[in-house]
Amino acid sequence: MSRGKAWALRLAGIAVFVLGWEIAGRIFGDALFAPFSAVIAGFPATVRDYHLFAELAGSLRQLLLGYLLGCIVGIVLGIMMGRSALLDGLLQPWVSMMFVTSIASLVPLFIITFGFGLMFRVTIVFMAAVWYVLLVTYHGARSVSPDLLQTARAFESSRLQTFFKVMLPALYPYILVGMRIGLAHAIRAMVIAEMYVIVGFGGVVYNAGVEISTVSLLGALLTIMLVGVALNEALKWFAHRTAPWYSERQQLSN
Amino acid sequence: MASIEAHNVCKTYPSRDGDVVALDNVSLKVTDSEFVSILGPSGCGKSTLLRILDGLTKADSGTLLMDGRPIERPTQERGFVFQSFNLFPWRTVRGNIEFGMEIKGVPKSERHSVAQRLVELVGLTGFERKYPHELSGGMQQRVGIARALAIDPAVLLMDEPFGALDAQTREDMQDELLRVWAAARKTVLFVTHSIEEAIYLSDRVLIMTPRPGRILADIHVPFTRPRSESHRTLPEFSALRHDIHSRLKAVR
Repeated sequence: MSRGKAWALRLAGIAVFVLGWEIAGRIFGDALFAPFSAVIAGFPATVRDYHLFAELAGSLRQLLLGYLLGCIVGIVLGIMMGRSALLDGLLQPWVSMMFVTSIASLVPLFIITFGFGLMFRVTIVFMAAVWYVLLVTYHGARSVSPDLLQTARAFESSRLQTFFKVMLPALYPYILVGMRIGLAHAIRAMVIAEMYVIVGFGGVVYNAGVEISTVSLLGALLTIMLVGVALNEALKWFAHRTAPWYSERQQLSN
Repeated sequence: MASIEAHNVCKTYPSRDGDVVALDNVSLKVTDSEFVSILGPSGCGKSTLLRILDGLTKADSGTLLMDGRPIERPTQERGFVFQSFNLFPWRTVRGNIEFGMEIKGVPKSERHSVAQRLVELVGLTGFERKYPHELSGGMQQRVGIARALAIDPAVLLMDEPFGALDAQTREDMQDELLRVWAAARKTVLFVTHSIEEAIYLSDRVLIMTPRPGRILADIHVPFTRPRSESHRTLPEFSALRHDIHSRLKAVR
């Protein structure tokens, strides 16, 4: 499919969705489900009344901290588990359990342990992101081509050189995919955690809900969706720019 | 100028149906600037022998020498060319060719000039910045050969390098290799299962037989160099091919 056609289809998909939203909104009314036009018209007020952008910016700063920590730990542990049977055996049960554990169920425990502050919010985001980054990196590390590792050996490459010149480049596309999945989960977890303690962006959503303001509620949701998509697209663009050999060959850009 | 030799090399692999003797008391010697092929059917242990000579695989017993010194592990005195190319997909043509020099810490400017010279030698001018997946199989193996030559090895070990290529590309690559070999004057040990390829390229052909892997015969190829397409049609060429063919058939 050509680029132009793909974009036309995307825009058409968005148009249909917005139209459906508008019609549903007109049927239910502002109190139950504000139509798209009302949400857009009321958006400046939402931003003003709820300090939407300031709260969002604060939330994203803490998200970034927890997310980056999650990426670092996930990448390092993922590589170590992928290349060491000992660590794999020791850590695999924990990773499997944490991977399937709902982040929301951890929120009460972390509030008790860490309180309501920065530590709590960063920890939640960290816990949401780390397992995805770890697992994707782990599978990448296990699947590094033995032929390429042997080729490095044939050229007298030391273990350290092989790690940096073969292992890391081979893992790089996996790491970027893991980071993208981790980011989506980090954003979800951030909103959930903030709604519990009514701070930041999650606090805005919570308050708008309590005040039964669907115009502000939907405005806030639309904002976080757009932010999430923008961040995901930015990572995709970065992957495409820095690993052209991978994205062009695999078409894994979606 | 270099020589490489193996004495009484044995290698056994464990398998589900008991041990498989891949190599049984194999000895060979290749001397200065000689082009020698190891010819045999699949599974005769010829690739194992080549990998043992590079140090990539350990022999169970036997002696391996390069210029009289024992071979214990892979070094840059020997260059290896793989059947499946094994190019690094994240490196460009130039990046792949420079890999071995990077390992040795060769300065950047020198790496570039060596890579450029080899790009020209193997006929890849204009493709320096391409990634392997953008190249045809024949071009990928040109990169594989250039990468092995870039470390200026005394001995070139080639493991069925043209086995994955179509017939036409294969013959073109054989001529390319002879041209490159004439320019670089390396000692070459070339593994193949194509009788014609072995005769066309080599000074000597070592015939290997499987189960257990042994060297059956050491055949001198009398044709003059440089070789060209016309050699393939000589009656002597056909006779030699027929002779080798019947020898291989006899042990099946």
